[in-house]
Amino acid sequence: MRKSIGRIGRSMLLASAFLLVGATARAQTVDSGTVTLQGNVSGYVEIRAGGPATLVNNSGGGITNNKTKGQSLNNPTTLTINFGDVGPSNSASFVIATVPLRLRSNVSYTLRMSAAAMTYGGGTPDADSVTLADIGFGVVSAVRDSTGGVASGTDTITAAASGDPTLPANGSTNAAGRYVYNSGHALSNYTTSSTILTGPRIMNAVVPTGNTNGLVVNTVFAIKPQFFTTGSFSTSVTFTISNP
Amino acid sequence: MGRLRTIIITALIGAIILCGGNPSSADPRKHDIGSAGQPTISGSLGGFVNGNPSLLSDLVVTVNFGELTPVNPNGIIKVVVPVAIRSTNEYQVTVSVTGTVPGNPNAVQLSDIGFGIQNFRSLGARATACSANSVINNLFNNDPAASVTINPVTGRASYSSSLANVGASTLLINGPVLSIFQGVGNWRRENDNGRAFDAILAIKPQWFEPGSFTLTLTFRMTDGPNFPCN
Repeated sequence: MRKSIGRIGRSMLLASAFLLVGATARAQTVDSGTVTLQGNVSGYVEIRAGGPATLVNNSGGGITNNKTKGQSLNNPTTLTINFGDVGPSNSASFVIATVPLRLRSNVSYTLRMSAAAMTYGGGTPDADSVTLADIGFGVVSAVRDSTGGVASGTDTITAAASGDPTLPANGSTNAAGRYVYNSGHALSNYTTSSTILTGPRIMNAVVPTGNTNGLVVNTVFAIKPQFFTTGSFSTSVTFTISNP
Repeated sequence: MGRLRTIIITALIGAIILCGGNPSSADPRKHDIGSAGQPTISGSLGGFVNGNPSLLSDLVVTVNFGELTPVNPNGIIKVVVPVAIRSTNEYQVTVSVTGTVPGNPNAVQLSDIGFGIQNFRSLGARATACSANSVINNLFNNDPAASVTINPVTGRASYSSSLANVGASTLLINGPVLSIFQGVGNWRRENDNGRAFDAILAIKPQWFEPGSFTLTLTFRMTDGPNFPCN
């Protein structure tokens, strides 16, 4: 009997061992998995139309492929300004084209401009033909839209390019009677790409298609009608934005 | 003879303790989280996803969203990560996010990465019927690529739920036993003995501050609150 009790006792002891093992095995099993997320944000700058271009005081001129705010200036079509007749038959003081630009960036930026060499048609050009020096240029304003995720910041127009080229302060008639723009206010000053505007980051973290806001830069091109040699002329102006 | 009786008694007690039905309170509890298929990415520029599509593989996925500035012309980058879950008892899945994002408020923030789960589905014949009663945390029960909106004031994208809603251990889903099995000891990861859901991540390209980030999402499956299998 004592042996039986002893055996039962040993059995219970072994059973306890099983129980202990069982309790350990019941410990909650945990499992996990991971997803690693990576992404990259590079510096990005953009130039688009800041609104429709306008042309005033022209005679037979016009704008083709005009743009609305946010549209590309040269894709799929290129904005083209025809000043019309800039001979003496146009009695206006200046034929003036205003071209608004919209800049956006997530980094500081530099806006440059260049003008291609003049090409001519309809006759042999000479010293009295319209040249790059006869086309005035200026940056009249650079204003950040106040809403829509546009960052605050101070933008600096290059002094020589700042202002309306038709203002008396920015040009005058020379001794020969030809109108001459001050340095920085004629396309002849931009045969190589030159800085016209700089500034800090323009946009906060904003969905690019969420709105059309940005930094609106108003540029002006002007020709004073004169006794130019007859014929047609053409040039192209390229705006380039970069970091910096 | 006496020794034999001792062994028999002990074996019987042990059998009572170790063997059970499907499931019983005596069962060890097992939770398993793994891959439920090939992760996918759409709308990226230079991005990719890596992951093992096998239902028998662990959940180890790398997502590279690629370029997040407007140079990426796509409206949104969407990543779908299929996640398989299996359990021998009540379960819960939590998620946590680790890693840092730049301090600049214009840099990518946790709130810029939409996160939700969708498409809760059976893996097959050995998923319990009651597992369909699992409860998804309502906050995350959305497709962030579909729920994204643009804040009219700031112009920034926002989501019904994002990684900003994920803390150290945030509940995603919980429910009853997921697997049909015979003896926990025989239970193992199979192609059809649980359920799956799609973890969806989304981010809209924006004028973010230049830089990069690396984050880790950890899905953790543990014992859940009482959830009868009815």
